[in-house]
Amino acid sequence: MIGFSTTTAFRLVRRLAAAGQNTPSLYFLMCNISDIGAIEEDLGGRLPMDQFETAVSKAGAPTVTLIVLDHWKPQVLSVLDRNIVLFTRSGTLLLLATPEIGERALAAAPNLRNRLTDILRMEPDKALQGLRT
Amino acid sequence: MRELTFGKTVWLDLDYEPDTDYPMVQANVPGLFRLKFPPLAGSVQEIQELVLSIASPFIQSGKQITLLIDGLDRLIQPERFREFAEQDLQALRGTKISVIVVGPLLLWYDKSRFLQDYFDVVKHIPAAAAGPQDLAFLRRILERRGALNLMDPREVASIAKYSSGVLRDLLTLARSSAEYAYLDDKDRIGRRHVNAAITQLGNRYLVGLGNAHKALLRRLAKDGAFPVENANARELLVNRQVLEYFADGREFFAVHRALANVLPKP
Repeated sequence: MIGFSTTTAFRLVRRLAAAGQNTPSLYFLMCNISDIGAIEEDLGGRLPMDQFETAVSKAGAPTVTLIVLDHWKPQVLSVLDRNIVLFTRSGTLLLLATPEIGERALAAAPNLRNRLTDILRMEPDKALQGLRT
Repeated sequence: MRELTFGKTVWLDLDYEPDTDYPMVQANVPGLFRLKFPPLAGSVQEIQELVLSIASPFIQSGKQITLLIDGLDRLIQPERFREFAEQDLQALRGTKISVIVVGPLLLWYDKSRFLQDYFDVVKHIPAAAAGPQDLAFLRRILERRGALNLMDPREVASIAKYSSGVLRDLLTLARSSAEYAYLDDKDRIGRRHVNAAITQLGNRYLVGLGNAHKALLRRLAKDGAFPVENANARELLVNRQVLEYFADGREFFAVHRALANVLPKP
């Protein structure tokens, strides 16, 4: 497996804060399938795959949007790839997937790949372990 | 001669079958003559009229309208760009509206006359550096942005080298090195922070590559051979894993240095 930099939700939030709220950024996050739920909770909840298109196109304050690619859905990748500028215009977009889906997605979406701020490997935050539901 | 030029439609009498309503079969024979520019679709014509009604007052008062269209350079399906050029761009021809389009890199290597037919001027914009060794310009960019306040010249040179002349990667490496230093609780960017940033960028280019892609990269790194007509090779170009350079009037290809740094051995 490719050894991307490893981070946690807390460290990622620090990184986003350092970049500033108005800096559009796009992170591809990879983690083990068993950790998806914990990381999602650490990051404050996801946007369902079928609702993101409407949500991110809303005008307003800068936002951080998490989309979990927990299954292979080429239509979603296609929409993301074609409209990636629009999706990142309103703030930060975080895509969370397993390494297998992540590799497949990046190969299928050259525009998205070209605009990535970074690819990171995520681990559940040990400090937040007791706070999860 | 007319049939040869424009084609014809003939009806072929197949063997009669009692249950069939249409015993004759229509066959279209295409002509040799083809329109250089296909006709505009009805929907495109409607939008063309709308655009012209908006633009006319400006054009008549001597204003120059120029449309800048970015983001189409990394299209992996150049036929989509053809459709766009044949319809949308063609609709603007003769309207005194200028268009500057960042088009797909793959069309630069297309053997047809498509680009020449649809555009008055076609210009290739390669990586910022003329070649992988041409680093002075890239170093100056970082120095003008204050890099020497945060790192030594050796680190600046290393970031310039491993950016391979891609401006976006130059800035990514500098920012990423600073982030590694920050996470390491250091005030200055050191050698290990830059190395970590280079490895991270290399891994970003490595992800998703199959064995066929890796074989092409190894071959290019070893003996400089790169079959640009190959579909996998074109994907490597589109995703910037392979970069094209121009130096001394000669075009050549090279594996992105950050990727070459992490490319596994066979």
